[in-house]
Amino acid sequence: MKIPRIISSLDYISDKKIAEAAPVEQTAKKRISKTLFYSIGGTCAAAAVIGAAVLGGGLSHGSRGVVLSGTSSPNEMVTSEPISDYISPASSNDGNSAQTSSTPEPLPNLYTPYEGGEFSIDYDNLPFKYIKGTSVQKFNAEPLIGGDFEGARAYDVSELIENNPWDESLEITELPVFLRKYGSEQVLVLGDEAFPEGCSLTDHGNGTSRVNAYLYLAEKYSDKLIFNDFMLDVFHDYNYEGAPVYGVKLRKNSDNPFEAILYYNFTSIEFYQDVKKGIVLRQSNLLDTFTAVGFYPTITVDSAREKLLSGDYFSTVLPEYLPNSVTEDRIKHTELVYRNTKNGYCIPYYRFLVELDRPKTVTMAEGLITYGAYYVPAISPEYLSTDDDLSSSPSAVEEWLKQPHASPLENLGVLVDRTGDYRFIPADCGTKVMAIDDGEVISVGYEKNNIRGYTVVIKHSDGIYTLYHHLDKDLGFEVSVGDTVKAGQCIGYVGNSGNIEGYGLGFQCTDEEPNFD
Amino acid sequence: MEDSQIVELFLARDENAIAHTQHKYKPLCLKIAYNILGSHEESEECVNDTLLGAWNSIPPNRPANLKAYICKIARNVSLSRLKFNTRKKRNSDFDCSLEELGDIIPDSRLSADTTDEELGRAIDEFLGTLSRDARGVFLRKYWFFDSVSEIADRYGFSESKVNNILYRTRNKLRNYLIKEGIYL
Repeated sequence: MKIPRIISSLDYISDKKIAEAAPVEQTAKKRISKTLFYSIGGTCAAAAVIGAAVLGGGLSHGSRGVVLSGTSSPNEMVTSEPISDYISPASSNDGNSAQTSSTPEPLPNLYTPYEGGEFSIDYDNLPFKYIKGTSVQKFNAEPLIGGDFEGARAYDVSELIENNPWDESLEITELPVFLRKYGSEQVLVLGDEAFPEGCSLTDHGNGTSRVNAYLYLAEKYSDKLIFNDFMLDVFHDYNYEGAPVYGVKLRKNSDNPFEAILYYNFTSIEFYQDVKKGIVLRQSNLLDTFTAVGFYPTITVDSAREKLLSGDYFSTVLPEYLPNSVTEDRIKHTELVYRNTKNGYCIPYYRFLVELDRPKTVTMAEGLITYGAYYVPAISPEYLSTDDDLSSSPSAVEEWLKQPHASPLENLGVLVDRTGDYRFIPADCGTKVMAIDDGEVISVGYEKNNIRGYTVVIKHSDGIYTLYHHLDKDLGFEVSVGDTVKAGQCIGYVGNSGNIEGYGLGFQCTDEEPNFD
Repeated sequence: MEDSQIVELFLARDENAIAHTQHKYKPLCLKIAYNILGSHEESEECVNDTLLGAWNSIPPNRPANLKAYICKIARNVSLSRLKFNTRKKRNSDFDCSLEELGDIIPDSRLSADTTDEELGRAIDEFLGTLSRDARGVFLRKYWFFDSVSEIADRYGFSESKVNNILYRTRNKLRNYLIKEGIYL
């Protein structure tokens, strides 16, 4: 057979390059998803929320799992039920389900919903600081829901319905609004951990192994946890290929639904695997630092739904996913969550999961549905600010974006944002990224904070800058610093550099000179 | 045992050099041979030929990088065996790699003046301009003839990303060689 000369010529490749690329046994890197959802950016620190309780039991140790939610401490749990019993060696089989696009094996039912009946708010004994007489009259309710497109993927919305203790039947009529304060998160490096079989924090295809790892770590480090009376929330969605992605967190437990709602939103214990440091424990109880500025009357779900249908909502869903307004039949789920507002408060919102069209820029497994998050403030409208400070005078960036521009992505066809805020557009790896207008490339490189990844910055006329984030360095850049680019010219390719889940383009427009190294 | 010590054994004509090399690099040689030949039996034979090749060539050679040296022998032994191999049963990944790389420079368009060595040096220089991962992906595919899924596993990339990297790298290589005047 004929071997092309180019193959034989490769014999002259330097030794160093060959040795560097040579296959090495046992060093395969696992592909680790960085975050569970493609957007939790900007939400309450503790509100990693869209998750889904994969209810229904079904595993051999499912019934034991229920014990957890009622238990008062991990130690107590251990004496009655050795944790090793939870750890099923056969659970590695679940890893195979990641390869298929079928519904994952149900996880143990770890959550018992509130059964209804009477409950009351003990105003004299609240689990947070509440200074009467300092209440604020009106809030600008624009939430800090980050620049990313927030949503989740599932074959059916029921998979996304999580352990949220809020329920419409509780008929809650008032809820506290908090003044936000940072600094209560505690991070402890626990170091390398030799997990027993069936435990893993990095195996995303296997929810059971994550749950096992959490139970194991919670037992081992029970003296380091800020609360031992916890319950375990498991949530999952799917990546674009249709493989399930799991997340687990612990939150403080309470039998009182009002307290449970607060703990659900503001307490969290998470373990994660850091490449360099080993296991890291991150825990917070934001109720220790937040101060309530008052209890405010809430609107009903029905009136919130009306507001949603009339277009009175907040969302980061891109217009291409839902070209027309939200319709009744697309609303698939409602819950109540706390979110930070842009001006320093944290207020309750109704969060609706709305079924979206299939994405155009990214290949998604057959049968998967994208659900977008839509927020309506749950506080009665008379307490919400009506002044339109933020939108009354459009900024230079907004004025500039109103002019016609090219699409930043191959196949997208439209410019997705009119505010210039950071937007994340999921797209297949290698999709062409294009300059939206004529300009000069002023920076090509890695963002120093390791969040936005490889970034190209283009300076346009009128002192406007556009930034294209998360590009792929291996596919390379089509421009270098100092180049002049035309609208629609390819500058690089979609990758997943920086701190993101999956592939996509981060797009931003600003009139301040970006400070990139 | 350290590579440098093994090389010393070769130079001292100590047959333990063979045993140590076999112990350390047999799996690697088997992998390379199997990627090219697609037969376990023949791969075993190639390992023996590789060890013999090393024994016969050190000295006079004194490889600074034994691992790369052994890889090169294994690859050459396997490629030359393939040339004489009349059987049809072949490794399709390998065929596909040949085809992809053959497309960059069809032999008929290579200048007769350009030696394999010149071409190799140019490609080596080109590879030096790539990122470590892109270079690794390229070499794993076209030097070691690994399959795309193996490469994806090794680098923690998706298969589509690996294919994308390969595609872009091939295009860049073609352009680079044109610029260097090798593509005529």
